[in-house]
Amino acid sequence: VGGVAVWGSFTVVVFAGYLGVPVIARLPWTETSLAGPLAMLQEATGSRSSCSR
Amino acid sequence: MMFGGAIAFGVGLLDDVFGNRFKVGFKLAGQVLAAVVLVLGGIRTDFLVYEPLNIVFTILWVVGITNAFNLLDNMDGLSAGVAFAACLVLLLNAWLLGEFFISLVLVALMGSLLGFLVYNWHPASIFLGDCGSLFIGFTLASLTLLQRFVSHASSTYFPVLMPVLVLALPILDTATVVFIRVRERRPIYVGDSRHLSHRLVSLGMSPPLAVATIYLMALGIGLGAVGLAHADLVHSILILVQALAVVAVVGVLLFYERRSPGRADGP
Repeated sequence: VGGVAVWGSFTVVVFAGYLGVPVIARLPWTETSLAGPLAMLQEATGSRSSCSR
Repeated sequence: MMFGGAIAFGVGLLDDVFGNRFKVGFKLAGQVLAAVVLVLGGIRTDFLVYEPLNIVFTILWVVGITNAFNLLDNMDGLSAGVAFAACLVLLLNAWLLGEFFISLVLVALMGSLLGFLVYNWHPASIFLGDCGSLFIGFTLASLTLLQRFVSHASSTYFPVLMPVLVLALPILDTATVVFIRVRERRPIYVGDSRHLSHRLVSLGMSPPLAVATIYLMALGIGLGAVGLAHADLVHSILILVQALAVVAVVGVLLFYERRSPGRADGP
């Protein structure tokens, strides 16, 4: 049960973040109240493609 | 990485459900398949000159670390806690190098592990199982491949050793038990009580204290390694010597035998 919980919670959070950020960012009220965190999340998901080892 | 992690999780789940009826060969094949998926997704090492060598090294690294966390899951809170400590060190490195995407993935994994650890701490009410330990090992191995360890300030190639230092405890524990099992001509996949955690308990520690000691050792080796990305040659060597000193302490604890009262020296 513990392994299922770890895998399930991690997968849900990652996919929710990855899929949810663009949707949330389009909502009008988030631009004012969540501008900072959203900018960081968008920068994070965008920076993945340009980062190199 | 998520797809490969799901394969590792699925293989572990089959092993948990079917137990001895699930052949070791299938388990290994599943882990290799998960690693191949990772390579096909473009996640691989790039420090070796020949590309095939990078692919082979990546598969060996991922399968090795996946199994290391599987073998480390031998005491309440141990595997998940060491994984949490490794995530913490990787998070520090990722944040300092400005890798925010990996930082967020690490935070998500740390949240999952922390929530699980509450119930897995001694006396545990839930357990990882093979599905959890294989998934954690696979994900951590993948994250070390995704992460950047060399910064513009790096003047040496020592930072590439950082993943090894961060995961030194699981690697050392696995290497030791495999060595012991091969020396005693036993199958390496059959469990026993020769792990570091068992050694610490046999030296007189309670299981929670032994687990906490291993957390501190993992942090002791890993935290120093964060500085490797920004260190010059002299500081890099100092960090490696410090890590080797902690590894030596682990080695002493692994092979130290408590003297019986009849053999004790002194007045």
